[in-house]
Amino acid sequence: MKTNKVTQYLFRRQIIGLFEMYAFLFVAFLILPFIFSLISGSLSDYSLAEQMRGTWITAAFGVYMFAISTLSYENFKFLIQNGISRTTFFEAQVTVYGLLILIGNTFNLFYQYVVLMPLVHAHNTNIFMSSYVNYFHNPFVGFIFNFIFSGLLLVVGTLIGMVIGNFLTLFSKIVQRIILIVTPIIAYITLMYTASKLILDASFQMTWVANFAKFILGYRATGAYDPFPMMISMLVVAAVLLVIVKYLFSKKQLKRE
Amino acid sequence: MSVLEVSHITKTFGSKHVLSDVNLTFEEGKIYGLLGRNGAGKSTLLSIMTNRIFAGEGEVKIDSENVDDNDAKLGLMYLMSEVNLYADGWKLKQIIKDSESFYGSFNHELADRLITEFGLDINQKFGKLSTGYNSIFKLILALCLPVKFVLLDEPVLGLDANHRELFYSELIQSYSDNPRTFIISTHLIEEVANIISDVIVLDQGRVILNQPVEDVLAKTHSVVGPEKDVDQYTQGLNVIGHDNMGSIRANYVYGDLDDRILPDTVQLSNFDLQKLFIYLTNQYEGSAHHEDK
Amino acid sequence: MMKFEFNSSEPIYRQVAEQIEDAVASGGFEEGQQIPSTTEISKEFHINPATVLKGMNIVVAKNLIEKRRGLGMFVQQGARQRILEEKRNSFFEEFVVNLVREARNLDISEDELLELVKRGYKR
Repeated sequence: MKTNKVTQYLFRRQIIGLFEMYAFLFVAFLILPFIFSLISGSLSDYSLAEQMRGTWITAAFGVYMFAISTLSYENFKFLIQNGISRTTFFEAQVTVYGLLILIGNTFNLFYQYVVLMPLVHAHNTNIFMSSYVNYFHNPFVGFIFNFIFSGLLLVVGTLIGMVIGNFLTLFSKIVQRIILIVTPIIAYITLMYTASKLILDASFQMTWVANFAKFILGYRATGAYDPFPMMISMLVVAAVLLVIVKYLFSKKQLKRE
Repeated sequence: MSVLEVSHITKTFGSKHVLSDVNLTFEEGKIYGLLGRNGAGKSTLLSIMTNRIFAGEGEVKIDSENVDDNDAKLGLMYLMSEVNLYADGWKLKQIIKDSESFYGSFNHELADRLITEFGLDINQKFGKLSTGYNSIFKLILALCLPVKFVLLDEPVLGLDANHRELFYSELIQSYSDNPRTFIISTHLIEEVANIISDVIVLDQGRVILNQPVEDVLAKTHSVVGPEKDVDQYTQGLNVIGHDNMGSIRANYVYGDLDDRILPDTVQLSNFDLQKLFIYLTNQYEGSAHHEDK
Repeated sequence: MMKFEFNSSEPIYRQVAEQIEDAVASGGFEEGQQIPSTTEISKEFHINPATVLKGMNIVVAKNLIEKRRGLGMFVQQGARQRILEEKRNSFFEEFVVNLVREARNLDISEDELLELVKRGYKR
């Protein structure tokens, strides 16, 4: 089947990008500060543990997934030139992102549990660890759910990236730019309006919107946050986004240049 | 035997009708010439056939199966076009490797010979090639991939006379070794006139000619002689163009001549594809504008 | 060898047949000798192989060349003689008639024309 070949092709291309990103981070956050300390003669201030404390490595993977998920036109061009259908491209791409998330998420958690926690005693290493981990009393179960929760978060982020990227790619460059300029302006106005409403209009504060948000986040007046409403919502959102992405892939066309 | 069928294809860009109800059948083992002036819709048609863009209406089928979103059928075609679908900076060798993996095989023996003959630097990167070598690289892919339908959109773009000569020879060699369907869209009609077996002429998005070249040429008649005699002889015939040289007139007829008697003063002969093309596609001149590329 | 110069007034396959016959008649292709393959002719002159084959088949049908399985096309024994005979037969229609017509157009009398022919032979 061609899906396997396309999956291998995309995986090969995108895993290289992932390694490059990690290499870049390693150099930028660990090596360069070390060299600077060396040059400036303040080597005694340099602390490897301190440099590693930040959770940037977890965040960076999310950013990378989001970034590559918005890009698809170059691969589409090459694949359609080689007689690969849109459906096959979609299936292969989703498989590859799934694999990348599996790899990145495993690496992230390994980094958290094996490097960060023992080394620098950081415990708020990601959203799950800072808000939901106390819901589970068994550390191993907590670890499993940390993996699932973080994975789902990456899945949703990646799918959002795919929706945005694949939506934009339907348009010409000019229209893309217009959308990229107009959308944030509208979003900003909406946000300001809502915010001002929230602050000034007391009756709005306790509406269903606020309650709904609390429910989704699993907010409890007492005790640990409940991760399940959030996880189930992410699953539902992911399913909906996946359908949208499949539709957007089926609409891909070569643009007139 | 595979058959590529284009039925009722219509395409508009905005309010512009690029293709109007195009119906064509491509049989295996023939070499088709797809001719048309700039903006006639040739490239658009080829893009639709290979599912790069969508038609407004109509469908493209191979052996009665729609090619739309169909790996098996799309894998039977390769379209070499002016548009580059390979990204700049990619290594040529890697492009060949990946194309081979998607299409299932690749004729390395032929490719190596062509690379040597054309003098292509295979260690180069895509995007660093001159227009000519860019075409040559894509032509090598087109000839070496295991497809049944080779679609070539302006194949000799940027090639010098020697390389064009070489390309036509290699095209014929490759076709003789492995007969398959070629669809060649080109402006250089004279160069392909004897190579193609069938000719299709698109004019303003419509098919105005679609026949074996031999049949087409048999229907071309240039009628030369004194103006009065020539006009009288060609009365009622499909005169598509004329030339005047002093008092001598040449009327160009496309169609069958009937049993009418040829005056002694008038000479009959055939004329070539290029001339036919020019007269056929000139007919609408002025009635609509031609889009420039 | 062959010297293809194509014109547009006759179908290419017929011109291919004629050129092969001309080459045999002129001794360019000797009897018993192999002639270029369909592909070679196609490649050299950029003619569709099917067209070349069609032309060759005309010559084969006239028993002037023969196909030897796995080897190629060869000029038959006696082919040259037969082509020359055929050409002689059509010589009158093809050349003499035209010659006389043109002579009449130029007001050249029969005697004058005969004189010119004689002069032609002396060159």
